[in-house]
Amino acid sequence: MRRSRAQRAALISAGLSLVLALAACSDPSQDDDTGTSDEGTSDGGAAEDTALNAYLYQAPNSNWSPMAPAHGPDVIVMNLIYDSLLGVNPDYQLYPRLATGLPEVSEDGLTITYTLQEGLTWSDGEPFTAEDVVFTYNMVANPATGSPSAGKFADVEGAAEVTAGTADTVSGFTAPDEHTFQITLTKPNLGIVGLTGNIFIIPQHVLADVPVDEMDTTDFFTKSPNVGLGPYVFEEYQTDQYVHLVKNPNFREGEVDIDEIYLRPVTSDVATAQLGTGEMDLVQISPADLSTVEALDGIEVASAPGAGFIRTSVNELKPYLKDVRLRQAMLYAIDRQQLIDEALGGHAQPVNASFMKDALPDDLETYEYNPDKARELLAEMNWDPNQVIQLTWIPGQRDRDTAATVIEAQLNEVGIKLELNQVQPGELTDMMNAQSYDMTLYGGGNYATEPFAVYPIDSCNTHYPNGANLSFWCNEEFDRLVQEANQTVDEAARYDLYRQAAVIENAEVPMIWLYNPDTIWAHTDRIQGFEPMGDQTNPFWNVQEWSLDG
Amino acid sequence: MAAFVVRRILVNIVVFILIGIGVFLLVRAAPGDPVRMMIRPEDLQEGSEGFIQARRAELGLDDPVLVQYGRWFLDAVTGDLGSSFISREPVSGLLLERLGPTVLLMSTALGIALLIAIPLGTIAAVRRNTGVDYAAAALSLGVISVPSFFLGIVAIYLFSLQLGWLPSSGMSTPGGGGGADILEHLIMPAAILGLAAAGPLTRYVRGSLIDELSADYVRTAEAKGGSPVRVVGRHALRNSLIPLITIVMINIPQMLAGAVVLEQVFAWPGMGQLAVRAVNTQDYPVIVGFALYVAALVLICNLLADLAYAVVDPRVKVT
Repeated sequence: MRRSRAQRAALISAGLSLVLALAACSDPSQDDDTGTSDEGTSDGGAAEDTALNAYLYQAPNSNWSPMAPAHGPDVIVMNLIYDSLLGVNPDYQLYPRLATGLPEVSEDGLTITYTLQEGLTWSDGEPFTAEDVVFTYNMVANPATGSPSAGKFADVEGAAEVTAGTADTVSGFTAPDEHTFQITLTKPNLGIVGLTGNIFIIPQHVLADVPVDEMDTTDFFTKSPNVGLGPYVFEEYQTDQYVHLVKNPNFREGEVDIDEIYLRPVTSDVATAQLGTGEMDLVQISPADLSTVEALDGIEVASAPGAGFIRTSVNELKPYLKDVRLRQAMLYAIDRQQLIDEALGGHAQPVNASFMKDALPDDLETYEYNPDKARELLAEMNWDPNQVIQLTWIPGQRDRDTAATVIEAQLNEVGIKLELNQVQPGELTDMMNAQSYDMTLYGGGNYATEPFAVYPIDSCNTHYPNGANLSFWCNEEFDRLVQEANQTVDEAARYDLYRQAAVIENAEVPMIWLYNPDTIWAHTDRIQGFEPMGDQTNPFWNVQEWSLDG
Repeated sequence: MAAFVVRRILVNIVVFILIGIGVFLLVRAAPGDPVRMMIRPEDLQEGSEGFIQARRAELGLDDPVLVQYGRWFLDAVTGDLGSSFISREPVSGLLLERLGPTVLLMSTALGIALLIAIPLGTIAAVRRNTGVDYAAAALSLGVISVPSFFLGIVAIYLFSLQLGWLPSSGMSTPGGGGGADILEHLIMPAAILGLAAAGPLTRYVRGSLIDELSADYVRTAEAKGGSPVRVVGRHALRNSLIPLITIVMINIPQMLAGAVVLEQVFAWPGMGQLAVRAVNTQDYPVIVGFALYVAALVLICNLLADLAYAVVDPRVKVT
């Protein structure tokens, strides 16, 4: 009996100490303590450190590479630690960042020349030159690095060879001198400026020795991207808790005012709550939380239109979905303004073409809510009221879920039998691959800066999976106009062609456009200089103009 | 005894390998394609299909599933569980850096559960069918019935928002840190997880103790003039806790399920968040790695329960 008691005690204490040892040996607080104290001393002991806490809507993938597939929370981080030749402002206009101005395009449209600012240095003090830009563009244009964006450079001289694996570098990317970066094209492609000018520049002096096919797994990108040109420098990532950034002493516009930024992935409910407790300073909120947040003391709300839109693709490979009058009838049958008011508290604009800003003509059909007109069109095409159409989407976002039910009710009202089908992301991918869905509801994209971005969602050559044309729509005249526009150097003539294409698109309705949602930001009134940005991955676009009151 | 232990360990290894095969095949049988899901449809462009095919080949997804398994198995026995498709970091590293927070949360919760369950169950058994017993039963039933994520949200509302006593999420204050800081963050999730586990444990302690109290040796002890505290504390309670070892061991994997959910609510940087994200993005290597971790936990707990039984209870003889 006595022996067994001793054994029992030994067993229990051994078990407990094992558990405690495990907890202690990977307890991140211990690294954390030393990390922060190091940083405190290197900072020269600044009297009052200002730190901003901002919300990340998901934990980062912790792959902070311009070659990694885009993931919003990681892009927010990269926008702070890297810089690019050009930036995009809240009006979706390009503006120079590392370049001295917008690039010069030669008369034949085949040469694009960026002049870089002189005297810039990386956060580690090394000089920044055009060679860094050539290095970066070569990486992004090379699929061997894991970059999914290589296709954007298809028209660059020598890019095809790199894609095929017969060359290591793209001959069309050159640095004639230390402050000039040149892109040589095989045929004019004006859109390439807007689509690639904002690529994050990475440091050649740090990455030159990394083999190309190991770029996606190298520690610099997955653990500590701590050399950059952006306003902040990467300090550490506490797994699933926060990304810690400190200001870059060598930033091109001088040191920023706010010393540190913590980007913290929490649920949106917790983020909203933390705005109230002061634990969070900047949060992107959904329209549903607007009234809660507006009631908080010391919190300001600002919004800006997003760069993409929510839509429903209609699979035209299905014979019963081919007739343009069906899609027009759907647009007339859905009261999109009511949907915007109900699901988004009015914080969105109805969409009637995929083009935005200057590429959008004024005189398009607006498809105002008109169920009678919808019924007329359906009668004219002899629509079979017993034909069931399935609308497939990934549930979980409140506005889209509401949109799906509103669409179901309003289409049924005019005699289109719609069935809702909620699926997991994997299932939808398989359905897209098999082209087996009728209609699918989704959103996103960025069409506001560069109108050529519409090409992949609409052209005959970019049917999924060779592009994002999920309606499998094809109109050769539309394709011709958009391609010609993209090759036209003269800006006025170029936009005129885009507007002609928009008229065709607006009449042919390749997809059921729903709305362009606003991006809504809530921030403490201690932040001065905040200017709302519709791109949810770049709230800090002008962070050098911010300050934080005690 | 040694033969018994070796045999049990060997059996567990076989089971573990079979679980590995099952998970590996199941994950790949699920709909979807991890490479296609990496790129949002609106980001696809001309040439994307070629990229997707190349990437699939690079990640070895084009090979027959059995070939993929063979390759994975040979790496796995050397401790290499592959790299996440998404973050491109080694899976073992991703799991290890989250093991600490999860173990800290679960062991604290288990401690809390036992601190509640043993005294409460004892009182309920000794004073059975009285008000105290009924109150304990109601409390147990209550925490079993209310989902822990709901308790979590209520606790955040009450203790963080209204009273401002405790931080609402995370494991440490950004820029702060230190043991006391972690403790503050730990209280709410650990207490809720512990409370949820304490419910059933209390019932077990009570039931087991009632059995012992009616045993002959207890009557003998009472007849010899032992005080009630001595009879219950030194004799009956000790024996009644033997089956509890099994129950606790079986409860540990179940607590992990609760922890996965609570980690989401409290943004606790443990395994649960990693697993949920991996499932959503079809990050095969991470899903398999996490499943194996859970399998190992279950098998080890069961093994320990068996062994502990043999060690603690002299009546159990193993050969």
